[in-house]
Amino acid sequence: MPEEGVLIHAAGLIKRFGDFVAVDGIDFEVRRGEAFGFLGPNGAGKTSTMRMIGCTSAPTGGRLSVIDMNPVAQASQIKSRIGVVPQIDNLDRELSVRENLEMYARYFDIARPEAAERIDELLEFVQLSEKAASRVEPLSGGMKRRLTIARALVNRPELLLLDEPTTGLDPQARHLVWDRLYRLKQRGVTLVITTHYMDEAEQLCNRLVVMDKAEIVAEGSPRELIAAYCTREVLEVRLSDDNRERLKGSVDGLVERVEWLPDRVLLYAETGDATLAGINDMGIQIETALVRRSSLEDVFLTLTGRTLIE
Amino acid sequence: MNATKVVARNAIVFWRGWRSSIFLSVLAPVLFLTAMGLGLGSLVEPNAEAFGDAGYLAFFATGMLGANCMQSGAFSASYPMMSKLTWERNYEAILAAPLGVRDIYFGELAWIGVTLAQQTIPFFAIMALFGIFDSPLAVLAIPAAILTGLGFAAAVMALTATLQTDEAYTWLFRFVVTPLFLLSGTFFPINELPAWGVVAAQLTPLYHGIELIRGVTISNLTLLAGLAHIAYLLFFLAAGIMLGIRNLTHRLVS
Amino acid sequence: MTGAPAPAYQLPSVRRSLRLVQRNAMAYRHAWIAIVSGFFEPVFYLGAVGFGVGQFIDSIPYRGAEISYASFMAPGMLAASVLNGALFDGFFSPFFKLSYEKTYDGILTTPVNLSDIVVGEVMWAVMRGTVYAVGFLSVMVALGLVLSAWAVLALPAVMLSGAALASGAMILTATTREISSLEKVMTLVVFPLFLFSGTFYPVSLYPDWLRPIVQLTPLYHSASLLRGLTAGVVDVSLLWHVLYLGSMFLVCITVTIRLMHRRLTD
Repeated sequence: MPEEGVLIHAAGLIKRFGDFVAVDGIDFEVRRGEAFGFLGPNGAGKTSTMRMIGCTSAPTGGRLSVIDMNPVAQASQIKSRIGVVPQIDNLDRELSVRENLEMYARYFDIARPEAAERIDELLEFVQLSEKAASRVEPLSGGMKRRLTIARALVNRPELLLLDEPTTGLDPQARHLVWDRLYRLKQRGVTLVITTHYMDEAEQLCNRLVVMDKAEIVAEGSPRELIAAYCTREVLEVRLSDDNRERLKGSVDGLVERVEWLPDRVLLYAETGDATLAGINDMGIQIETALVRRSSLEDVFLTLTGRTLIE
Repeated sequence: MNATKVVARNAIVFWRGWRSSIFLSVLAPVLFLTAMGLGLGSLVEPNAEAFGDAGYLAFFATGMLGANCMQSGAFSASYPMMSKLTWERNYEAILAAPLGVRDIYFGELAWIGVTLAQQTIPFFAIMALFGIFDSPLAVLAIPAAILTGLGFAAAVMALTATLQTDEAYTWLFRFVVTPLFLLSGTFFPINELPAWGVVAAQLTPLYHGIELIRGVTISNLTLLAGLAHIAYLLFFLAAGIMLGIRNLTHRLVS
Repeated sequence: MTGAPAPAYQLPSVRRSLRLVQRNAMAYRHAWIAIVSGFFEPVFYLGAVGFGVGQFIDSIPYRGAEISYASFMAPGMLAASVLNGALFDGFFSPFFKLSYEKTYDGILTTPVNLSDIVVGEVMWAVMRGTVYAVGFLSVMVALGLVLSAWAVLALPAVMLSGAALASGAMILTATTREISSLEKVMTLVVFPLFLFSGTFYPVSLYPDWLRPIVQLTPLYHSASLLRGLTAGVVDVSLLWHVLYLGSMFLVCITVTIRLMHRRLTD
């Protein structure tokens, strides 16, 4: 029996498509008021998981409860209390911006005067008030995404599911979306986000799970994960092949871990500058050097040996 | 000429579905002539003055030969062309290769001509099987029908080149194509229309196309009258082509 | 809270199905010309064929009575226009919303479910068809082609026809995968229906082997029912048409709901 304050509870959750296993027995919990993330590359099983939580896809096995209800038997009730922002937008292209929101209010049986108020508020919130009469087609990708978010908020959901919310958006649009999501979090809306962008996960999520190939490989807050799987800093160097060979020979003991990527080398140590100095002392020539803080990308690399974006 | 490359591209796309397409082109007229022959043909009283000696079925079928080409030509130049122009932006890609606007235009028009032939020839053949024709001259009905269809295709292409959305097509098909289809002598001789209607019909292209087709198949057409109809249709086609090239150039190049 | 197998289909509700009608009405506000112009086409055909060709046709013997060709053909045109509408609102439009525009995906994250969508689209088709029918029947009355007061029942008959034909069309929506199938459907199914169903001429003209085949098809029943009512030749046999259309509606809508669920469930 899930405890108080747990909005989503999954145990041994499985999703199969014929022979293909998209989600292979995962366990997780999402608590009320937090921003929870699923971080992983394309094909990890994030979208399949989201669709099961959103009641548009039935689990093949395991247990899943959303707001204490069964997503298969009580789909309708759950849908009236959550909002969904899908990866590929499915706005109604034959209606204007405002009409999209109006119809959504009707689908949720929200009374007209109440709906009108909420819609004005929402258009303000996503900064689309000026575009209220516009059709959907001419809007930019960022605007369409914001409209989808506004639409998902029409029924004042307690839980908002966002599948890759800023994929395909330019940096400015991304920051605007992050800002809006942050405000929602402050208002107490529980967010569940899937992403393959480590900066998005770090910025928005209180807790997250790292998914790869249908399984969860780690969980915790961004800081906990970085502390557990990485050093504090990373030194990224690019060097010629000869120098790379030399480095291979002499790097043990200098750093905690090394990742040999095709185009660069990642050296994990407590302080990058000291490591850089150490390499210089050894007389190894490097072309470029960059010292940065460890990120979730590094966590993923450590856990799976691959990068988040292939 | 580079227009052949445009035709070739369309042919490749078409060839994938050719079997069903040809089957349908033959089946449709068979069904049609059977139904109308059995049905209307037996209801309509013989009236040589109105329909000619060959009877109503021949009168009607020859009218349909032309009307079909009009509808088909107009349709091919509407939604499918808009699709290429606006939604799929094929032409921008083609223009990047060394093809000019004229090449694109004539390539597309030629292709529509090919599809018109592909529909008209089976229809004509089935009509021949039904015993509607008695003179080898009747074969001229095929180019006559195609010429009519091309004229409408060119006219609609000129329109399509100026459009951004397909809303205008509702107007075009409901209020231009359908009335022309019904009132140009396809179903009944235009003499049945009120006087002003007769005059109006004679100013429109489908009337001339149908008169020409009937002239070489079931009625007696003087050479002079025939040439007049051909001249009208050629003029209609030429005007459509000039407008079309001008509009398409404006659309693609500026 | 186990992962129980999904039910075969969810139940529709009138209230939620009406949302689809509202949505379509809202969308058509932008394209009102498409709605208004739909009225004209059957009227044009009635004029050109009913009267234009009708000049050359003597009266038609119809079930004991003799009626003008226009009076015979007009209810056939009405039925044909209902079929046209049913095809557009039950097949072309939903097919595009389903496969290309993903409009239904957006609606399905709300309490409105797939069964509501199916029923709602059929409701919309029926409503639109009925609006046109009112106009067309008025034209028929004005032209003196309505021969009896029974014609009042033509309106519910149109609604029944619309429901049957639109649910039939929706089976196509549920099963068609590619847009190229459209042409095949039009030529192999729709076109023969229009030609052979007793729309333009009585099926009594058919050879004995063809007539029973035609009498199995839906447009025949719709046209016959409407003709019986407008021509005022009303007897118990009309009830067979009502039974056919009613059963067709119930069967097709159930099948469509099943097929749509199977198609959209993963």
